[in-house]
Amino acid sequence: MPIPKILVIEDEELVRKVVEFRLKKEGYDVYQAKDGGEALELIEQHQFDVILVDIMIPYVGGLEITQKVKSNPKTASTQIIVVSANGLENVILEAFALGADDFIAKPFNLPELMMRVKKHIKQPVG
Amino acid sequence: METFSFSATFILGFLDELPPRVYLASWILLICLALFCLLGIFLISKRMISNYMQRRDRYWNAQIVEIMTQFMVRMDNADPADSLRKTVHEFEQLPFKKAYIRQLLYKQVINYHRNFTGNSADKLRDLFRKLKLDSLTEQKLKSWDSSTKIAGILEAAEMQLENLSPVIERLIHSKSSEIRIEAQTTYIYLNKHHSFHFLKELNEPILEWHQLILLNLITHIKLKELPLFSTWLNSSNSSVVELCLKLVLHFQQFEAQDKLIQLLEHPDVKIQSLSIKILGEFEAVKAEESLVERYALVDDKLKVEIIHALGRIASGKQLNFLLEAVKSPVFEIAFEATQALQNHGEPGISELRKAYLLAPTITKEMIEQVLA
Repeated sequence: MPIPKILVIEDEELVRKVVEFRLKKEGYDVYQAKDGGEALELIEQHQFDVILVDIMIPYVGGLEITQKVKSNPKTASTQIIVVSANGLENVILEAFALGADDFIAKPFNLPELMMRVKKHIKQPVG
Repeated sequence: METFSFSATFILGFLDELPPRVYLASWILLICLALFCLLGIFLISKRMISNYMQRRDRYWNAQIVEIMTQFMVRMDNADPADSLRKTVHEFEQLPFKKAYIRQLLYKQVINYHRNFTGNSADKLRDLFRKLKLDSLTEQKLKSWDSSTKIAGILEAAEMQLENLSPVIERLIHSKSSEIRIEAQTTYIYLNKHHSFHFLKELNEPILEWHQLILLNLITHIKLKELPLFSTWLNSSNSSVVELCLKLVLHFQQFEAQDKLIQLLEHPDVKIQSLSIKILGEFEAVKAEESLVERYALVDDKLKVEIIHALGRIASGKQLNFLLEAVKSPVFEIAFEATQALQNHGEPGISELRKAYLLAPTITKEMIEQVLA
């Protein structure tokens, strides 16, 4: 059974590395991008099961990435978890309207984030 | 040096031979040229320093992030105390005493703390304290600049630095309302014991919106022991009394009834109004007579509130008083009194029916409306 692939898009280096470490520890194949440009390149090259994306990232924003992934038939099945420090209702609604599958507000609890990722992985980790 | 001195003598000798106007213009030109050169040197050096500082910060930030990542990662595997000790040791290997490195570290720990809750946030707070970064927060609290002070207060709250409570306590009475508000909020948040004793000495007003913030905070944090807010109801600061009244109501502190009755005579109408409202909410039978006594001395708005409170208390002892109020030429008073009698149940309704027979048309219509 293939190992689920996860992309972490986050500009805060420590947050990105810590999340990456925790996901790897759970047995996932983890990729990381520090901005929207890097993320889009990776999305073109790989088929991810879950994308964790922060809304406020440089170059291409998290919401735009969500829209691009969900509007492309090849990547539409990828589960997107939007992360944001801005928990305003309109931001959350916009994320879901663009196709996001889940939303988690910053500051977040790492175990909770792990559980949400697990929930969105279609196949169990082998 | 000799060449320079020769050139200067030559230029000055040359200038001396020029006609006065040209001489003056030449001097102005020379001064402008010199200033232009100085400005150029200043800008270039400023740019160079800023580039150097950026490069330096980038380098040290990378080191800091690396150690912090290791710390966060180790946290899962190793013994937490051991992991903390190792991390502190690693940071001490850096030129940690240098102010700019401590500043960078301070910013990074706070910034990352903002991203996590739960265990990760707890560990970052432990690291912050172990590295004695709270001394930088203390410096901010003692700064002359009010925005730095406010930032320090907020950071002390964020990192839960209970040890800085005495410093924050001094800011509670600040002349600046912004500092005062943040200090009061943080002080209550950090002190789970005796968090409110500052109310006794508070002379500055607690603004309306700040009262809302404090109410929200006090009603949501887990206090070790809830004080009796009636303790501060005799404060000379009306805003303190107002806030405490709201808290007495929220926490249903019935012990405050006697003080609430005294406040019916408070010079501030807003306090009188709140006290009447709370006595009504508490269904304070012992307040009925005081409320009736105050009735003749207050304006129509408070009269309506007194009648409303009597309607809530509904002991049945004030039926005659309420029947009189039904006859009031002020519609709001008469209507409220009719409702208050209805609230008394059968005795009040029976009195209303009797009054109906003798009442003028307008009162009859009102009673019909209420009893319908």
